[in-house]
Amino acid sequence: MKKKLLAMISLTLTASMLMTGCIGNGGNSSSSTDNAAAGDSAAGTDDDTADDSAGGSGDHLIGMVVNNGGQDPYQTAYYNTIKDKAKEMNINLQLLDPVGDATTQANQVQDLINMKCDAIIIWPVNSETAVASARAVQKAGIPCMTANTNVSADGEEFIKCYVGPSNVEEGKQTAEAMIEAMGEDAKIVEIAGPAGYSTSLERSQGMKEAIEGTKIEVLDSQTGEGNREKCQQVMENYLVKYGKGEIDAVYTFDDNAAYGAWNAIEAAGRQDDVKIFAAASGSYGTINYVKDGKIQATAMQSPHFDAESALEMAVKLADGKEPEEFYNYIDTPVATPDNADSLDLGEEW
Amino acid sequence: MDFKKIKTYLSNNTIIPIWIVFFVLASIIVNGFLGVNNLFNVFNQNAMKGIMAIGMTFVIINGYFDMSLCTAVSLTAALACGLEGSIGIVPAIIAALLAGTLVGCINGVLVAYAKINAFVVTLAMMLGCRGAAYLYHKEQSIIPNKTDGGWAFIDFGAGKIGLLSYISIIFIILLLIAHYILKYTTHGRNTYAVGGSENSAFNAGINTQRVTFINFVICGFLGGLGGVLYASFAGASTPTLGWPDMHMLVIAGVVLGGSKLTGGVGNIWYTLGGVMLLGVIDNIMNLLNVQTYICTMVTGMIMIGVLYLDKVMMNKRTEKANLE
Amino acid sequence: MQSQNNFTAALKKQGIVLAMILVYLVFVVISAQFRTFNNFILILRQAATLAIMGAGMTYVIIGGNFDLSVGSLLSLCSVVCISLHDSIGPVPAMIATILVGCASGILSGYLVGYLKLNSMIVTLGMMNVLQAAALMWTNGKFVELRDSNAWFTKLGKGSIGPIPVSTIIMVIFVVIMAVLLMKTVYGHQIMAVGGNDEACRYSGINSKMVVLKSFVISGFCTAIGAMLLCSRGAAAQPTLGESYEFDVIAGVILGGASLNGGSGNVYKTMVGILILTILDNGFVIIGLPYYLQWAAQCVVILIAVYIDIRAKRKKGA
Repeated sequence: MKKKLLAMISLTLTASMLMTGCIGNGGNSSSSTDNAAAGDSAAGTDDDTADDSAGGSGDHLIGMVVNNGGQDPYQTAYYNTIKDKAKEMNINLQLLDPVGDATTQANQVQDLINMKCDAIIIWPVNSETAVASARAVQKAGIPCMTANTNVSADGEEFIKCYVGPSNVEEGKQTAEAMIEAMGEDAKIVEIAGPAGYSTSLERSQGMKEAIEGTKIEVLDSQTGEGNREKCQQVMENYLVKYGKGEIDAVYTFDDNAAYGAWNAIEAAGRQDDVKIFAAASGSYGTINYVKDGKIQATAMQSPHFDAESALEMAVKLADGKEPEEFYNYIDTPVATPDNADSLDLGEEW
Repeated sequence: MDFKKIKTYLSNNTIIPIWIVFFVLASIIVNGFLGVNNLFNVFNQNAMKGIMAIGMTFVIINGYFDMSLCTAVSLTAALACGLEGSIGIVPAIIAALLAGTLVGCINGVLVAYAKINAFVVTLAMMLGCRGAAYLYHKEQSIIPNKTDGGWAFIDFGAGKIGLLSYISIIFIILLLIAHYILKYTTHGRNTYAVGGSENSAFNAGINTQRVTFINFVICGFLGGLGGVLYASFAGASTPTLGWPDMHMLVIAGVVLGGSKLTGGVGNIWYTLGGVMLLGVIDNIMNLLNVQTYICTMVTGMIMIGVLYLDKVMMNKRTEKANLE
Repeated sequence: MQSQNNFTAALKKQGIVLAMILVYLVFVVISAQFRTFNNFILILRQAATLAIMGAGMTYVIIGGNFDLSVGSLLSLCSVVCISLHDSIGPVPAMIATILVGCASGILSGYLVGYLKLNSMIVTLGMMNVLQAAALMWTNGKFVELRDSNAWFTKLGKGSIGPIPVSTIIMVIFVVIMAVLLMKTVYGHQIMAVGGNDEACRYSGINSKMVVLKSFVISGFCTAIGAMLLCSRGAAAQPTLGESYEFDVIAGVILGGASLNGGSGNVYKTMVGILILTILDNGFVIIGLPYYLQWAAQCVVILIAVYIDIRAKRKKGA
């Protein structure tokens, strides 16, 4: 009985599909963008996009491929900020998320090109693989820019500009604060970000540039895989390997790793012995850690600022204007226990 | 029109009605789905996974599965890109394919001859390939742009004839070859036999170990090819390619299509349907601009739903068979 | 002669325990820092969550199934526990966490046990669903306890004398789970179902319910493991359990459970997990870069399983 029913349904649907195909073959470009004002609101409702299109008939269609929009507080804050700002500015923003997969991102950029966007923003999952995507966007005649993470040098000829933090600078600045605090002769260990992740590699590179010429030695480097518990485990293992006095500080990829490291250091009772420096922090709450002296220095990176600057530039590009600068670095001030109280970080993020 | 025959056919090959339902729903609900551009896009985007799924189909019909796929692709992609500068792109590709085949050989030997459980072997190989891939990459991505051949390689991945990409064409050719092997050659028949019941196949005189070994080699080779093509498509290879669950998506594609994980049942067209089904679901999510985690949740529910539907249809089929 | 045979037979049966001792000794010899008591305690602490989850997973695998969703379930339970801790109190939060774990187990168990769907794909789907749920619950943010020294954190951080609380809980749990498996009617049932499903139905065992219960046990264990894990850091990120499922399953397999079902041992699973944890810890201490760690794990797993299989085959023949 069920089988019969299913067969009937299938046949009816096939027939209706053929009919729909004949009638509705309007191609795949602009029509899809009526639903474009991106995903769910942060208020936790499960509404589908269709209900959410406040900015429906904007005069710009901007496509963006983010990275891990819902997985990480920084990315989430970025995602929400840019969505809200787009609504505010009455822009049609098509936000896609490849969840960390480089080839999915390549596919999604292609989808955006097909949608005939006025400008495309790419937040590369990987700086190298994004080159091919940037090239494709440029070939299609659409202005392309990168946000938060840049393409590699080979790809820069295909994009108009970059808007976001300079990961290398952040790594450098924090390392310089570390040199100031620890002197030129110290032994440190590193907890890096997810293996192969461009941001992690760049921050590490900045740190290494800063300590060049000094007698500071990086005794060990392991990845914490972006997971706080794993970072804690790595730090615990370090503390076993290096006894009291053998290491002076740990340099972490970000604040999440620093929290993990702090837990391990506190549990071992070596807070006075090992200091923590986090290359960059995307969480507003980290400033309290700095004030309490748990973290000695970190570059504060605001997702609000990051997102808003990116969108503003995209609108400019969509209007056909050229950017004034190629590298538009956002401000990432280094917070230390001394200046933490007086630092102006803007609104809480 | 023999309705009964069609009904039987549809319920035996459940991927077809499932596909039809999805396709129709998508066409009606999602604006922009039905466009020619979009549909070809979906096919092109999933061709690489499809190629790997062809290899996986052989192993699954044989009654096993291969978890090392996810990191083997990263390794082969790395070799293709990395060796391009020193020995030229064609030798580099050959080296990459050899590496993939080697991984398949190791899997095959350990599973078929040493009789170690496939899950363990391929899980261990997954770790081994991951280590090798990272070691070779040295944490960076590799771009094969040192020679003209390298640039041609990158262009190949992006190239198309009409709306069909070169990679898709390779996929279609491989589908036909695989279909021929499975249906018309001794090896193909043996694969089904071993998958159905290894003991019976052995008693019937089939060299079950060799059959299994060959299938793992095929899977390794096609996995390697998939890696090379990924590198061509993306224009670079990264150490995180395929991680963490590409192998699961490929296996899901094969199983959702109708091949049984226990072995002995399935064919290459099921795999095509399963892989494209997952691709279509992805595409629908993109077009609807759905937030990532809703996407993840829906994909998960659909996987379970499809299995359930398949099971229901099979129950009906068995019931009917028992009554008759 | 006879006694010598018995002795070697007994040794071979405990192959995996020997392997663990061997691995541990290798590191002890190589590295001075490794052989400290502190490190020994650290390894036990780091193994706690995996060991408890492994105990639960053993039941599922004995039943002939897989549960790939435990990693995401770990994430979900952790975020639920931490986020509810401040609003409804630690004990209700813990109860809620256990309920979440069991609910997931009931759902997976129903799909696999009653609907007889393929466990690998079903739990893969559940993995996606649970991960999405964890992300939705926290809206992508991380959650933290207001007071990082609340009594709840003693579970993960605290010690009684030199022994960590989490180790005591781990040992108690493993023992209970092992006894349940070996001595109770249910334990025999799950072994039977995994061994031969047909025969069970004829002997009147409700295999569907048996399988369902195995998944609930796995979910329950994951919830406990989650509480231990997130209490260590007094925080949880929604993706914290990513790829835990492979470590857990690898531990169960190292422990000698047959992937076709029908045999397995909770104590040996714990040994398998300990081997993996010792490797993790040891590699960092001797300074092996992370990618070589994976390569080394690969080799170790293969060797361990090969030895175990050879031993089993000799015993059987």
